[in-house]
Amino acid sequence: MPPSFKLEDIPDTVVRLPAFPGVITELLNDLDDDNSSMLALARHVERDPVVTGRILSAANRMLRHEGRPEVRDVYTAVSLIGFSRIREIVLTTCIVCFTETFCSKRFFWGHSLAVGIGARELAATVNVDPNTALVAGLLHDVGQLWMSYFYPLEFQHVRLQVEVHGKEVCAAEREHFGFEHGQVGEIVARHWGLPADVIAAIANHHTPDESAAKNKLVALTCMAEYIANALDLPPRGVNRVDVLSLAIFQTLKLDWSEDHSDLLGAIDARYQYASMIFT
Amino acid sequence: MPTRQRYLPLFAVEPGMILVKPVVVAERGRVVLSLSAGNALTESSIAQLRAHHAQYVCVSEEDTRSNMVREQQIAAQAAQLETIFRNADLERPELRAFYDAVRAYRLV
Repeated sequence: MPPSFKLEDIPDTVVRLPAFPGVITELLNDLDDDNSSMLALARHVERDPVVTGRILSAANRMLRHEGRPEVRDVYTAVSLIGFSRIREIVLTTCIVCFTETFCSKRFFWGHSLAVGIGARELAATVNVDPNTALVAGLLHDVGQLWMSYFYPLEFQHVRLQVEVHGKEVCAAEREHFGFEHGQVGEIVARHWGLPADVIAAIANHHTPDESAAKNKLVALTCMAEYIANALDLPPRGVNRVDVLSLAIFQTLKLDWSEDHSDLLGAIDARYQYASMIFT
Repeated sequence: MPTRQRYLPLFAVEPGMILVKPVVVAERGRVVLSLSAGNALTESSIAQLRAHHAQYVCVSEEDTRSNMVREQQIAAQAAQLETIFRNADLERPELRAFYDAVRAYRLV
């Protein structure tokens, strides 16, 4: 039985979700300005020691792997790893910490990481900021977090329909909720003040036809999800590639009849590397 | 001994593997590390790659699998891809090209 819930009621519920890390929005707003980004990072470090500890933990895993001494503060990490890499670590770690507050994080996280890395890799080919692409990919299924948080039973029914009966995820969601996770994600992302193109990517990653033609971030988030599923990253029984939107190919100017081993290999290997750093 | 090309995260790379693609690492617009294709990786070059935050390389390595194991693994990968694309209309040229690209990458 679907819950008696309407899409227009969702904004009132967003405040009851775990607090979204504001540093993500701040860093995305200041991507062109390293000084502003550094200030946003410093403010966050001062007020959230738990997340700061996780950022240092991820940074130290990377430094250990690189044979370098570990660090005890973010500023030293910046000097050793470089600000752009630390910004990437902060964005990813904050989203890991955030999703860990949800019961469905294990289901959510591996797939989101793969799509985030794929989007980041594709971004380089179409002149989109890689950090914005990373965040769009990491958060593309955030509507499912809302579903699992407020309606865990209905969400489990959706998973069952998808995983056992092979039903298409958006169709199963419409049946159980009356709406799709892209629609929920759009409302939630807007409430968090994420950039407009990230909101569009979250909203339209399953329905890209019209928006992908106008918005490269929608196209590359959608393509990144196709690639993650096609490469089975992470391995899970529900990875499927059913349809491809022509608009995505046209927007990204991707011709798959050419050799794209480098792109697929980069996404595959970077995903394995990130899994080691962030999980 | 046959070889196979693989894209590996740096933590899985070992000395003796041959670089298939060159590695060029630039920082602030300046090339700080350049390794040519065809060179065998050494402890020293792997340490350099780590120090410059490289995350992965494309290498060729000896394929130590027996013919039977290799065929079994390729067949398993092919079956898995067929499952992933089982509802896809592969008559559509763009979808077919994507499927073939993933097959070419995965079935080694």
